[in-house]
Amino acid sequence: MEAERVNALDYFTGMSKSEVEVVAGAMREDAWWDGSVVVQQGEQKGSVYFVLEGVVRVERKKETGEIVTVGRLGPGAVFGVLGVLDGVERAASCVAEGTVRCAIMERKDFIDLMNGATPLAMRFQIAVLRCIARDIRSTNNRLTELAALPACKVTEEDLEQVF
Amino acid sequence: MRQHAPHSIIELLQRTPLFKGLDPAALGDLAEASSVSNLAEGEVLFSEGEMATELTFVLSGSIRLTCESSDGPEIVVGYVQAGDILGEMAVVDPAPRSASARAAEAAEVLHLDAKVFAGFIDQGHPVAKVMLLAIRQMMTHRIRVLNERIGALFLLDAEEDVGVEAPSMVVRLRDIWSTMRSGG
Repeated sequence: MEAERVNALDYFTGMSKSEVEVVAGAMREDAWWDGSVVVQQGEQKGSVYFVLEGVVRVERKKETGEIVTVGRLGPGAVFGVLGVLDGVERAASCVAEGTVRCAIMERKDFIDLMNGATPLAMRFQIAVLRCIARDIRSTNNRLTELAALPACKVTEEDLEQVF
Repeated sequence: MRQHAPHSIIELLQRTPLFKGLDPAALGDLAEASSVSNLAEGEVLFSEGEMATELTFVLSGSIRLTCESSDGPEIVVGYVQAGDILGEMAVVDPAPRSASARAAEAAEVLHLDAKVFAGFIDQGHPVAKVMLLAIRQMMTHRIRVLNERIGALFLLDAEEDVGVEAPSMVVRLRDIWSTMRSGG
């Protein structure tokens, strides 16, 4: 992938141009049409996805079979990081809403980049931590919105709106 | 009162599980690059809304994290114990402090400036390696707990269907809110 597009993702601040090129070299770009499944709940094929364009809907299937929307991710968002770090199966599906383009990094390349004590490995680890930190913050922000509602009156519709 | 880490700090660092794997030279570099302060019970370490410029390690004692509340007293959002890190999120992704920190009892803390930490990363220093791993473990644990609890909120009626008495929405929300904000 082009280093410029990777730089625009804003996770790799602090890396030199040549380091961003190494990261970009480990990514490929792909696109999905409206309604197609980007990743499936339960699958174990671990890759990390950076949303470049469009929006993905995050869905979880209940034990009853009912599907609930638990979030939406737009340009700049990342998903799949925890699954790649732990090797656990995906906890949710991501479905394209409109046309979606993502940069994808396979698990092996992701782990290879993280390993070692080189400055590049450490800066890549910082970028990974930045992904997780933003995930924690956005979750906290949504929960703060939820906290503003009187708890006894929170409904499933409120949850879907907030997430 | 803040002072440069004296030699005795190296011994204290050696006993901290986080730094156990570091050789004496690396520990010496850390002690040299950091400073230590002794906090009396109730003393403020930092306040909500300030920009974080350092990583803080609790060497002894404990720190209470609180958040302002719009409609009443401060809310305690967590305690940070000896051996734990504070400010890790703000250092990897600069943002204002999401909580205030005060000594819950007499405490000793080690300060490592974010710029010095960045210098350790530039060198590929062993100190940076152990800290990055520790921070990653803390943050992945936190997001996993949040995700599980949010999942439980959404999957509420799945449990009701199998006859398990589901905790009320109020209890679930209280659980989630108690998980928020610690670590910023």
